[in-house]
Amino acid sequence: MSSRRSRRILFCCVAFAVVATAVAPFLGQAIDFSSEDGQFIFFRLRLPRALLALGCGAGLAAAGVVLQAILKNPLATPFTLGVASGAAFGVVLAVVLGIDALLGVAGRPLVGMAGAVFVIGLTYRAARVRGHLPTHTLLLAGVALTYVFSALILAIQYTATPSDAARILRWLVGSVETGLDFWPHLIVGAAVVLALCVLVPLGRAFNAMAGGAEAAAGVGVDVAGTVRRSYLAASLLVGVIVAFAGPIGFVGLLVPHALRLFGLVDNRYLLPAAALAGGGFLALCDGVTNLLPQALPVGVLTHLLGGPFFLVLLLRAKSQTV
Amino acid sequence: MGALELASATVRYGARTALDRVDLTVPAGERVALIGPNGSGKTTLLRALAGILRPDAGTARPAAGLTQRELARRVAFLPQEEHWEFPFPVEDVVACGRYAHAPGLFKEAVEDHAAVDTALAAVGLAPLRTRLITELSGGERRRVVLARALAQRAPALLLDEPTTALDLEHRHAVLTVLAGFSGTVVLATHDLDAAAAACERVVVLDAGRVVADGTPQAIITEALLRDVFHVTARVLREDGRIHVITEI
Repeated sequence: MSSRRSRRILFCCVAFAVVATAVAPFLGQAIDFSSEDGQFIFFRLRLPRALLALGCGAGLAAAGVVLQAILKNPLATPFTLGVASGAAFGVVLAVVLGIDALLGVAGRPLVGMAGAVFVIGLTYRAARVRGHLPTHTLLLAGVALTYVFSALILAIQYTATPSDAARILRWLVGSVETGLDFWPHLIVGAAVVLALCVLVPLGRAFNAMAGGAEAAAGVGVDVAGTVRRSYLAASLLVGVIVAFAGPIGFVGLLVPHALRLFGLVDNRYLLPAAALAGGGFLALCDGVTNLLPQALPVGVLTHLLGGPFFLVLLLRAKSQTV
Repeated sequence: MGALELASATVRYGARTALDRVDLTVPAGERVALIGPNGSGKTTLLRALAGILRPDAGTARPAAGLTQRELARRVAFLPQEEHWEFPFPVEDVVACGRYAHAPGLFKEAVEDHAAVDTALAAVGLAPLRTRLITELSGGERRRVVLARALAQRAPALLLDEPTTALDLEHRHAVLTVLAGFSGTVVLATHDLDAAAAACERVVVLDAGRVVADGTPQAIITEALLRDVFHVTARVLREDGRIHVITEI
């Protein structure tokens, strides 16, 4: 009903994603396009990084919207249900056992995805009650598994050799540096497109679920089916992204809330808008890291921006209730 | 639109039997109030009729055999409580009532807009249509979700405690809307005066079973209040209306 405003914001997000991804590779030291080195830096390093950031940011923000909708929890993030911890555990284990080296460049993402799928299976199994997937048990199972796998990661990191511990830390911060390969872009891009094809059509059902599962069922939503489909699609998407880029935090929380501050709450529009804005935001953040005196992974910057943003949200909510 | 029907319906929550072999038929167009103490099975009965839960034994019609979407076109269900965390505009909440009719994800038919406008006008919230549901009072929110149920344009309306926690003005507004609704109404309520005023039939539940069924005048008696609700109360009858006065 308030769709004209929502459509306007969605178009703004399209423009933002395009501009941010186009601008990001130019940030940092100026590029001399007349030299071969300059062209190499732009076309083989910076542009692919911006594109991968676009895909990862899009997927994380979209997954954030979905998890907040199905868990009816504004604080839910793509990592709330333990998928990232599962992927991280897989990668960390692969690093210390040397599996990633054995499998080559595909090693880390492969074991990361295996870890994510393992945790999705465990959470699904633990939360399932009589064919349904109640969101409160889903949340509890996910949080419990997050703690378990976080503890295992800490234990491995603590006992690892200094060089392995450093490699683990670098990965855990989250980064879109993937070297010179293009296949990560293809896999992340395909995962984002496929997941959005499943999730965007559920936007109307997510709106109805904002009043609770019973209210949604009362207006005709197949709540169990919606939760199952969206949980699996969003979790597999997050698993793929984390396997490649590590657990880049706050995008899934920050971007949906920023759009809600602009008055976009209708999930039919919020979901694609968040994907576009999240992609643009992460591409821009990654570009900004090139401007820093010391090269830092993009995961640090998203956390640095995410913390204060969260405080602003808190203060805003407080001022509304006083 | 046919009757709403439960046939020997049993619902269990773990070891507790919430509904115990209940038979109930509500013919089309009838207004029925479900009354009974807390935990007597009123909400469970409404959920079974609305297809929100499937009985462990017995059947619920028309819920059995229909998808949730098909059922929502025949029966609108208003739950007892709703908590809205996200700041949806009132008109968007009411538009959720059109879910079962919606022709596409972004498409809204003229009929959808008309249903939302009519429902908002019916509950007197047309001036608040762009306000956010998170900014409304409890009474206003209750009317918003009632408008959502009306926007479904289903021939049957199932309401779980629609007047609980409402002030006199909002209670009156909700009862007026129900009086103007031309289809079947089944409401679960603790408001016995409202049950008698809004419905021509009262069904009494106790411990998951139907213990009385009839007109308000015949059913709401001092003996029933003593035996089922365990209170001493006086029942005043005036111009065909019933007032229950409990003694403290």
